[in-house]
Amino acid sequence: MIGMTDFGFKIHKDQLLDQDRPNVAYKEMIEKVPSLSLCISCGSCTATCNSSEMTGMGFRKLHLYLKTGLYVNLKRGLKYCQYCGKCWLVCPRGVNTRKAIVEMKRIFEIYKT
Amino acid sequence: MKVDGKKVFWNEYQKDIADDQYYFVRSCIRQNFFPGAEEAFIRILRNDLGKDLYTDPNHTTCTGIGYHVDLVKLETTMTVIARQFSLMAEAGYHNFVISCVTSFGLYNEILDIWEKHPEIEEQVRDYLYRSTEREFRIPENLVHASDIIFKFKDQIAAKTRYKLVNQYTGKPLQVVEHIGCHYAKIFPEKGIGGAEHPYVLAGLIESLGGEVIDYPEKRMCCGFGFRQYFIKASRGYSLSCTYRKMKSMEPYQPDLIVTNCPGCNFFFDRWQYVISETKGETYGEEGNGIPVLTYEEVAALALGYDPWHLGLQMHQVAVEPLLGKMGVDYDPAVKYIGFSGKQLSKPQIPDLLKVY
Repeated sequence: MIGMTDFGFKIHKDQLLDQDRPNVAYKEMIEKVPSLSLCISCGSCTATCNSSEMTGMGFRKLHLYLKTGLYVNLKRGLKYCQYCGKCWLVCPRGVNTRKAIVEMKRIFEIYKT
Repeated sequence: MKVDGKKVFWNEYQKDIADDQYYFVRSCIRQNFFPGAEEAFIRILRNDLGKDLYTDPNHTTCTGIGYHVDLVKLETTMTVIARQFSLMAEAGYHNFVISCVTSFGLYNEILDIWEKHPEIEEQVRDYLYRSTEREFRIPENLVHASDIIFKFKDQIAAKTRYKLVNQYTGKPLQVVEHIGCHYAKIFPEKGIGGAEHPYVLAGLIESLGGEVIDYPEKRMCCGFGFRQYFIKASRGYSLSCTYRKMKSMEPYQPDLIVTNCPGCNFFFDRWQYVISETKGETYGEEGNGIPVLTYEEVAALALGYDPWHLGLQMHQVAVEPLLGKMGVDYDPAVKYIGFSGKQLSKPQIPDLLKVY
């Protein structure tokens, strides 16, 4: 019967990032942390991150979620940050990553001041 | 853009293709899955075009597949390729013709490395000498087999018995041309027409009377992607990629897909069956798939070669609808009769995709 053949793999949905997805939060973030616009997505931040190895969440991924408006994933990932600041130290473009995380948490009301 | 400027720009994507005296290296995939394609290339060059083409039983794989899945070290690959060049020199040839697009990309990659780092070339000369006591010479001309067919496309077109024209409607057949990624995406200047607008297959199709379809995902990968396919857990990526291509070309109702890469040919062909079994979709007319042929198979069909001698029964998607449209004279009864005259075993018939 059609659809019953199990090949051990199947067609999955497109995982292309939708650049047109509205990203209001990103605009707000750029105003608060202008250095974020310098990010080249090199991934140095994630490579040095304490928690990324255990959680799969690094700053690069969080930034990508923010830019593409994948806020549900972003909120899930934000809670793993321990504020150690190593990502900030290694960033070749000088992005203030720790501040970016704090501001993201404020925007999504995970961290209230 | 001014016409003169355009000509200058376009000149970057033309390449020198030797006239004669070719040393031919085969493809691992094609020899196994579509053996008639390479045979057709050899027959067209020798019999129809009167060229000198040497096929060497001593040459080996280029290690391309092993290299791209990180099983073979680059130094090993370079030494193997140096050996192929050594065999070419030993046979007395200077012009190297490659059947496989993966190999073509790899040979160009290695020649580029040697050009930029002569010390690596010296090291490889040493490796080759120590392992085989051979020396090698870099070919004067290195091209893909589809380049040769492109070069002689007008001579082929002048001899054709059939055209890529629908005999029922009198209109040109609608053809999707798909170029292997490693043909020109690595080194655009090495491919006819470059990476964005490759003309190597489009030129042949137009010469044979067909019409090339321009569809949104034209330049996208066929889905093979070595790591995607060879690791079973990732094989869904390969399938999904082909599915996207098929959905993109479907509205244009193609009669035929022509490729110049062994992997593309295999995956467009075989994945149509897998998609039909998993999604219940077929893309040709009345439950047929869209036939997928290589450039030599198309040229050979047009020249009047017997489709079953070309090995078209080895394709998953049935070619009979295409043969009918082209008006090819063939005997359906001998489809599964081998050269020895014995009946070959027939394939199982899929649930949805039509096979005759």
